[in-house]
Amino acid sequence: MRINPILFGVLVVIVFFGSILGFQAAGIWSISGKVSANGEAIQPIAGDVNSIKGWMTLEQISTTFNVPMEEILQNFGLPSNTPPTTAIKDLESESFDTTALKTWLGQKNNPAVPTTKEDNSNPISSSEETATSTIDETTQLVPADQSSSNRTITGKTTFQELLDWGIPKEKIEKIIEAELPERSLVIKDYLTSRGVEFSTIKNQLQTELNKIK
Amino acid sequence: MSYQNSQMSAQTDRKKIHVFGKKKVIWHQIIRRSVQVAVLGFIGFLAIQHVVVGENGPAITASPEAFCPFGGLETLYKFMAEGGTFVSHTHLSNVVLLIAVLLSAFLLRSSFCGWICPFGFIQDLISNFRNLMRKVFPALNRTMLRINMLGARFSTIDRILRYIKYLVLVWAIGGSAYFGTMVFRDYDPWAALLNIAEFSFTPGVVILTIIVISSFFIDRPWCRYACPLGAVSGIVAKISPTYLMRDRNTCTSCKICTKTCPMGLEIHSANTIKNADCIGCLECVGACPSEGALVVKIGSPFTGK
Repeated sequence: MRINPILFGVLVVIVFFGSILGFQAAGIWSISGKVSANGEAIQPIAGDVNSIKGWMTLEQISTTFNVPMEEILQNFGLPSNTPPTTAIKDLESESFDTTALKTWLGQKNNPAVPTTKEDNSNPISSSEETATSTIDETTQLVPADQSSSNRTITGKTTFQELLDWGIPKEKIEKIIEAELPERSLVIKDYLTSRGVEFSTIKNQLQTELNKIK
Repeated sequence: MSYQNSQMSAQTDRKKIHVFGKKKVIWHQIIRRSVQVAVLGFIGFLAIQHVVVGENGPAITASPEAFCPFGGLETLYKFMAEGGTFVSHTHLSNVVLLIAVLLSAFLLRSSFCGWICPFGFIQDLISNFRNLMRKVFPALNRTMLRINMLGARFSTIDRILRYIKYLVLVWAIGGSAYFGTMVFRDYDPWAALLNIAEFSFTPGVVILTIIVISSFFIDRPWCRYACPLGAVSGIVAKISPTYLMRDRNTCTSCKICTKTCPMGLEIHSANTIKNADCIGCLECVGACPSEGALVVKIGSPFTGK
């Protein structure tokens, strides 16, 4: 069968760009380690040092892991006037890199939890699966009396779990700026349905949870 | 007698190319160039945006490297072996683009190379600039003709050099799988071009310079000899049902198709063009003065029917 060259060109465009659009429509697309497939910004997760990436800033690490900037700079011998917005990878030296920071924070927060080898995790799953796997690993490795310190809010956490972990109902309502919905609801699903960004609320809830530890 | 007829027929058809002194509009080439301009513009915008906005600001900007299909090939082993993880500098988009390239290659030969690839287009632009200069400066044209005649003596070397891309392919994929990093990246002229604002002197910069200079003498030198993505695309294209067919009865053996082919394939002497190096640009089809002598067909990739 003979094909008109113009039709050939149109087919090239349709096949190539059409397949890309198809993958995008199916949610199988990510152009950066900084955003997930649904465009949500990937941020460090409190309690999960493996969520730290080289492009994250000192400020993000300091806030999320509740460690003063000065302490980080002092520990690794970095200049005290280092801007908080500096990315970790931009400060890499013989004494400081992402892995060293992970190890230090991991030992500081919980000496019993070993850090895993750095990898470039799939941005789709990194924020949720990594956190989930950390919980699973901790369950096996950490004694029962320490397990409460590794409670991490993920995309699968429900409101009931927050209450079980000891966050008061009023605190939750204040953070989500609404009355507490059905307790079995997954927080992420609830916030998404309201058009609220999950990552922001998650960090606030995680901070609240860390205070309880 | 039949030769004279075919010559007369060719002259008649050639007249069709020029209507009232104006060059015939080859619509599929206009579409092709438009697509290439759009893709190069998009990648250029991303590259500039990435430099201007940077990585440390609140806005998240995509690196143009996230849109390189070959990155998908380099990360494919890790992606499959380690459950969705990637080697540095690659993302899910690279894998998706690789799939799109391979699908295009399977259905429509290496059409990505001929119709979309921005690096191929840059080489085309340099070659077109060279052709323009040849028209403007007759002395340059004479020199280039001498170089081409000299180069024709080394056609065996040309054929051997074309296998380099398969070695590059094995090294790039094998190295990435073994070391877990992009071993090819420092040597990749496209990555060097995208990161030119970093002013880092890598082997890729040297290769890029060689490619730019050699593009003045050879059409698409990177695609012909060293592009690993073109290599894998060409392998897949071997089983594509789409191919070019030359009608011996209509063809006048004017060799315009061969002279026009940016990949230097000898189209005028082949019955079916199913070469792995064919990038499906259809330059030959557009340039062919004999109506119906060179057509795009769909059929069996093995029998050519």
